[in-house]
Parts: sequence; C-alpha cells; structure tokens
Amino acid sequence: MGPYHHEEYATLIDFFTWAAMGGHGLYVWSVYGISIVALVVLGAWPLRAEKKLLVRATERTDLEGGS
Amino acid sequence: MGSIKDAFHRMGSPRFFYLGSSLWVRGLYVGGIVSLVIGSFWGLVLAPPDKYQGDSFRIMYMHVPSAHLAEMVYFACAVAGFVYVVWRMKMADVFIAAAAPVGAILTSLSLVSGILWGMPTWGTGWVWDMRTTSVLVLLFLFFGLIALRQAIPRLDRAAYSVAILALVGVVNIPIIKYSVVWFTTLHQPASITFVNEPTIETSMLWPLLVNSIGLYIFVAGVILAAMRVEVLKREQATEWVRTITRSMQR
Repeated sequence: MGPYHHEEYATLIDFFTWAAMGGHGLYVWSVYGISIVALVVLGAWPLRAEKKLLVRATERTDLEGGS
Repeated sequence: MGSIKDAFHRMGSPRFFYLGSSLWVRGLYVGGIVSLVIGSFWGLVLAPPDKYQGDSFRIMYMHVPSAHLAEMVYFACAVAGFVYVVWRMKMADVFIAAAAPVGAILTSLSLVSGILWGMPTWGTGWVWDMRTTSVLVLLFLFFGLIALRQAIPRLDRAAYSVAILALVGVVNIPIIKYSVVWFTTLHQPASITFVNEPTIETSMLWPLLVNSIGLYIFVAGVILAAMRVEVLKREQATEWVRTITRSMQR
C-alpha cells in the first residue's frame, strides 16, 4: 500500500461528501436500501415459488408413473 | 382487430397464458432493472440538489413511483374485479390474487419512504392528514384482499367476495389523488399533472420518469410471474401441467 496521491484524496473526499447527501445520507440511503431489499424479494419470490411448484408436480408425476 | 380479440380471448385460458408469458417475464424483469439502475444513478449522482430540501429530495425517485404504482395496482385490481363479477373470467381472479401482495409491498414502500422523507423535511415522520391516512387505508385494503381470499375455502366464493371488495375499495383512489387539493395537508401538491406544465425542474424530472417507467415495467414482470404461480397452483391436476412436468423429466 503506497501513499495516496493528492487526486486520490480529492476523489475520496468527493465520494464521502456525495454519500453524506448534505447531512441527509441516513434517510436517503435507508430508503434506497429498503427499496432494493423489497424489489429483490418481490422479483425473486414468484420465480422461487414457480420452481418449487414445478418440482413438486414432477415428483407427483414420478410417483404416479411408478405406482 | 379480430386477431387482438382472439389474443384477448386466448389470454383468458390459463394454459395459453402460462405457455405464452415466460419470455415476457424475463423481458420485463431485464427492462425494468436496467431502467431502474439508469434512473437511480441519474437521480442520485447527476441530478442537482433541491434549492429548499437539499439532497433529501432524492428520496422522491423511489417514493413517487412506488406510491403511484401502488394506486395503479389497486385500480387494476378493481378493473379485474369488475371483469370477474360480470364475465366470471378466471384469469381476472388470478390477476387479483397475484397483484394484491405486490400492491401491499409497494404501498408499504411508499409509506416507509414517505416517513423517512418527512423526518428531515417536515420535522416528523407521520401526521394523520388525509394523504397519509388514505394511503394507510390503501395498505389495509390490500391486506383485506389477501385475508378475505384466505378466509373463504371455496375458490369461486372467495373470488367473488374479493372482486366485490376490490370494486368497493376503489373509491379510495380519487381520495388519495385529490387529498392534497381537497384538504389542508403537509404533503405537497402534485408536481406533474396532465393539464399544467410540470412544476419540477427538467433535470430532476427526467430521472423520475426513467425510474417510474422502470418500476412499472419491473412490477408488470413480477405480477406476470406471480400470475404464473397462481395458475400452476390452480391447474396442477390438469393434463397440460402434467405434460409440462413430463417434458421436464426428459
């Protein structure tokens, strides 16, 4: 790890200034964090449920075929 | 015209819907996510801070689309309820069953983001004014649609009752929309209307439009995917589902 150059410090400070959102970072990032979690859950839930239902239906077809 | 009518009639068939919707779900998911990423980057990084609210206004890019979409999902449930009551179309009930949980999550998201936006701008997260209260009622209506279906064992009776509730509850939508006009409220009036010029700066408006379109597309994909689940649940004993599972085994 070498010493930071002046430009890298400036970029880092710019990033933290932006992330602080003028003192409102807690509110802004909380909203975006909650939204991402909600959208991931929304998007993943039906896909997982469909997969589960198809696996269960396949097992049932297997059982009926075997009996 | 005839082909559109034919397609509409075919979409009323659970089998046709299931087999024809797979590609749509993928396309809508991808389109929605891409648009949301672009809109959020634009809103969080490129849009300038608001003169009065500073950077806290950036909450708008999630709050406004989720609130608007929650209302639209309920309105769509009411239209589906009407279709079910009049024509007894099975897919209309499938739509309500799939859309109600999605609407509940969107309404919760709009309430939570509103609370988190209210804290720095209003000095309080919650006030019992007409806008916030009517949106809370919308959340309870979505819960009602879910609970009523689960409370009635017979599928046709549950579907009819839920359709009636969806129709009755739609009276809340204009109340939400005009609550900021009819009543004294802390909530600001609409910045974008059909009749007037938007009161929001263009550089702030574009990311809002991109994020809104993204959320609409993504949620359309989620509702389609949830409808496929509902169709599979109801039709699992039918021959066409067995054919699909047999083809999966090969």
